[in-house]
Amino acid sequence: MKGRLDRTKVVLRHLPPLITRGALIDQIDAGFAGRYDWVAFRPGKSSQKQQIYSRAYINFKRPEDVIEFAEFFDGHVFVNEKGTQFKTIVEYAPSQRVPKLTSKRDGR
Amino acid sequence: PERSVRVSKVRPPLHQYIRKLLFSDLDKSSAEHVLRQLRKLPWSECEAYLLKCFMKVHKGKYSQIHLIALLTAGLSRYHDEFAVAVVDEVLEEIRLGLELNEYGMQQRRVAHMRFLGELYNYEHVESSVIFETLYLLLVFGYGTAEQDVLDPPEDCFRIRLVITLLQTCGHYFDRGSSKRKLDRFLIHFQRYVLGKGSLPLDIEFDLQDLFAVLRPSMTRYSLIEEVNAALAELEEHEHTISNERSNNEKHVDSDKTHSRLS
Repeated sequence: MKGRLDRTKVVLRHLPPLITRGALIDQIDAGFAGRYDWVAFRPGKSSQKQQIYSRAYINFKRPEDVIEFAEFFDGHVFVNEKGTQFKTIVEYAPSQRVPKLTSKRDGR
Repeated sequence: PERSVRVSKVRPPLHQYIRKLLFSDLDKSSAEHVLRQLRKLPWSECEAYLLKCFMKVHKGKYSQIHLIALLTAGLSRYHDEFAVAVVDEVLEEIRLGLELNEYGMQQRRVAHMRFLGELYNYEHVESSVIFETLYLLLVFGYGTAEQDVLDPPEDCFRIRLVITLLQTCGHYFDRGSSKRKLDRFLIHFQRYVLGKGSLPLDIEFDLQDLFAVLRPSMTRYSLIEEVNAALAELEEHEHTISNERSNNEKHVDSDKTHSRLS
């Protein structure tokens, strides 16, 4: 089990429903390019019936980078083209598991 | 007035096939076969859809949720990214349920708790994740302005969620550090329960059953003062232990310095 000080995987929640992966990565890379080794983006959804926020999971190379990242992105406000504001939450991901890089190729 | 004809959703054949495998074919005897079929899918095309279907555990039979956990664990060997995503997604569903606290979501929230517990049983999540979730259920929203919306005083649903998770995997916390962690949690849980006042009978009976199975000899406190005293004692005990530990370390350290000096 990882202790509090060596956790490296974070989740960004409450991102705008229609933000694209590319747009988000650009924002992250502006300050943190090369400091993470894995990202998973989960697009949200915006329809009349419901609105689902987008989310992203990021694994940093060093625990210290998480702190700096949270200082910058926690509470960061994204504004969409209609002017709606979305206040992002940054937290440690409750599950710290990150996919193994060398997943076996499935011979099936 | 003219009304347009309601069109039923037409799904692409690949999606129909995935749904057939998961929602009608899957049972205890076919699980191995379903797993093999899933592995044969064109993953780059359908991974996102598969993830979506795995989150629909509340649509199937409650008693079959463990099969979805079995499939997750089975797929992790070749599609670890997917298997990691399943866990992240369940935990997100649990968190979202707490944030919205909508009555209409209750059935699916119970199903997701069960799913998380089964993922633990298939050794696909660590015990720390289970305990973090348990504590989250007790404290989420407390101390904020929305406390009464997120967990109204008469709302016992979070108790139901804790019971569900512990019914599913609590019996594995019977030795070593995870046993101590469950003992500790159950006292915190008792304080939460007492804070709710009188419980509906069905919940009270389920609680009695849960304690009877997991910790038959544990004291069930009936007064908030008693449980607070027990928690204070527990904290003091933990404090002493951690102090002893750091003292021991200092001891070792000074020994080292000593030997270096001599």
